Amino acid sequence: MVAIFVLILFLLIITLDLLVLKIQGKNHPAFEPSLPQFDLLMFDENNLTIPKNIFFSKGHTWLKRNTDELIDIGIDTFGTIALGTLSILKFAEVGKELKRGEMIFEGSYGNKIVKFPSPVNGIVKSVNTNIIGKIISDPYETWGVQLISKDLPGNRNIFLSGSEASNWMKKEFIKLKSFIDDHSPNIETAGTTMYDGGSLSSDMTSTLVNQSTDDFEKEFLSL
Amino acid sequence: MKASEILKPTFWKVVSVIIVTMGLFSTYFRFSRGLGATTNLHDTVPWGLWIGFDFLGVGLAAAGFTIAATVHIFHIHKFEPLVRPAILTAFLGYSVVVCLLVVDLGRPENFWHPLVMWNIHSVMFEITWCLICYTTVLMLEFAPVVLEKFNFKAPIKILKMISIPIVIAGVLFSTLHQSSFGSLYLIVPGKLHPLWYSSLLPVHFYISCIAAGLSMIIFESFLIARSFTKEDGFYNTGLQMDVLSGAAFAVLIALIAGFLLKIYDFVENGKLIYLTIFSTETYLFDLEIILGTILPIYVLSFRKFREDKKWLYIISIFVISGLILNRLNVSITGLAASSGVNYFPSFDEISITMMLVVLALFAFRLIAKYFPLFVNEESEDPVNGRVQINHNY
Repeated sequence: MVAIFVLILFLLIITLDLLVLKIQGKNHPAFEPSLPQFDLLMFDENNLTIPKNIFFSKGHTWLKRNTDELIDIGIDTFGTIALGTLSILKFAEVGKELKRGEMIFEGSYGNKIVKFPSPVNGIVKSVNTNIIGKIISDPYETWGVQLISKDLPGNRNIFLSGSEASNWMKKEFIKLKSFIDDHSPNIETAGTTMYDGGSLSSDMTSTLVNQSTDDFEKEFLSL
Repeated sequence: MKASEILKPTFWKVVSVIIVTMGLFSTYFRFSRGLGATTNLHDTVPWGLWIGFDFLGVGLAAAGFTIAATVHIFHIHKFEPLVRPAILTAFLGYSVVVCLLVVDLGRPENFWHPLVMWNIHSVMFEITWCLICYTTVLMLEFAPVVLEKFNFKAPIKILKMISIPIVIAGVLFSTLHQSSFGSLYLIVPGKLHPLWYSSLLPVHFYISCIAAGLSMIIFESFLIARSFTKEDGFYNTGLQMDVLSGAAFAVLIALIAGFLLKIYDFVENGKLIYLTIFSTETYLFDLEIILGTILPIYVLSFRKFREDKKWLYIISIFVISGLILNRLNVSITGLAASSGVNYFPSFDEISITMMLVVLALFAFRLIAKYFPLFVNEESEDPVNGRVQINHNY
């Protein structure tokens, strides 16, 4: 009976804690409403389909060799939909000599500005101004910047491709969900729409990740 | 944090103060009046709740060596955020065990005797020495966290140099220690109920502690996310579901291994017949297996449940419940019939145990508050002076 007594005591304390939280109007982390938008993203295999001959940097940009020294660079699926819909605001200047880690794209989720780092050293050959302010529907067919760089062939080990990239991308979506859970000042701010299966609007995102852009950049957009 | 905030009463603070106050009184009575006057232990039942809790505390602390080995020996760095909380949990778990052992000794002032009076033919000798050595190893494993706080560079450098041998020593000691608790009951084949007695008991203990220790870490992660909030000055304490899902998969593997071993043991030793006998032991055994093994295996087999925080939390509670039942069944229930005496712990036994658990939780919170337990940001490497990323929880 000692075993039953200890077990009941253990379960009683857990139940009591849930009741205390309920009275305080709070949610236990295990029973907080999930964010269907992100559940959907996580398990949407289309988002994890990785085209051939494309390399991914951990700063959520992709690279594709165009000619010998010309590299097309764009933003991957995660970057384009992470916190709502990304809108590209500006690029690194044409002719500028970029160092790895310097800003190559600047975009916004709602009114939050985020910067994507350049995955390689190089000189900006051209930029795709057609995508400024537009929704990127096909991320891997839409390059943003073309760089003249010799860095890609010698540094392939620092980039991800194929199934390795696909697995990493999936983990990033799972990590994003934890990030949202962690950075939401109040889960209700995400709005009832999301819990009902609706979309994550830019306004909601702005509230949800209020003052968390730095953390987002550090967590997801650093090389 | 201001004094007014610390003193602000909350439900759990009030409950904790009551438990600790009662526990202190009980401790005073235990040491002033002796075991006979304050416990329900006697010559027929010399081991009770405290020994059961020792088994439990050590079993739940198993994540310390499991996670440390996974990260530092097998280099699976995904689990790195769990290392420091797991080691601290193990250290506090073992500290509770040490305190309970001292309280449980008839002559507590002689607690140091095993250090100098060796009886190398006793399983208790192995247990005592493994307990001492592993607690020391845990201190060494956790020392960098304390040293980082005070920026003591030289000792950190030394500890980093010997970190791998320390982790390996920790794995060896805890493997011996966890299994030797099972070995302890090999000497009572006629007394321990056949449902639990087995020559494989050390292996059962070892495998079950891995599953329960990892479940404890999952459960603890939820406790941390629930209690250590930004409002209280804690950061990076949110749930890392990818890490926890990975740990849940390891729990599944350990549970399946333990279950298969149990089936083999029952079939090989003709013990299946005992499952058909209607008795308290059978009911408790069934509950232990269904709650702590079969249900978790079923649920964790589905990936969607392993990645669902609600189910992870529930299943971690189930697995821990299974370990509670198992260890207390082996140490108390399984011996009750042969002793012919019904044992139920006294108020003092219960209050001292609860006090130590509350103090361990309080110590965890205090250490988490003032030491870098959950750091997850760039900071300067105190040894090399370089900027590094700390991947701690």
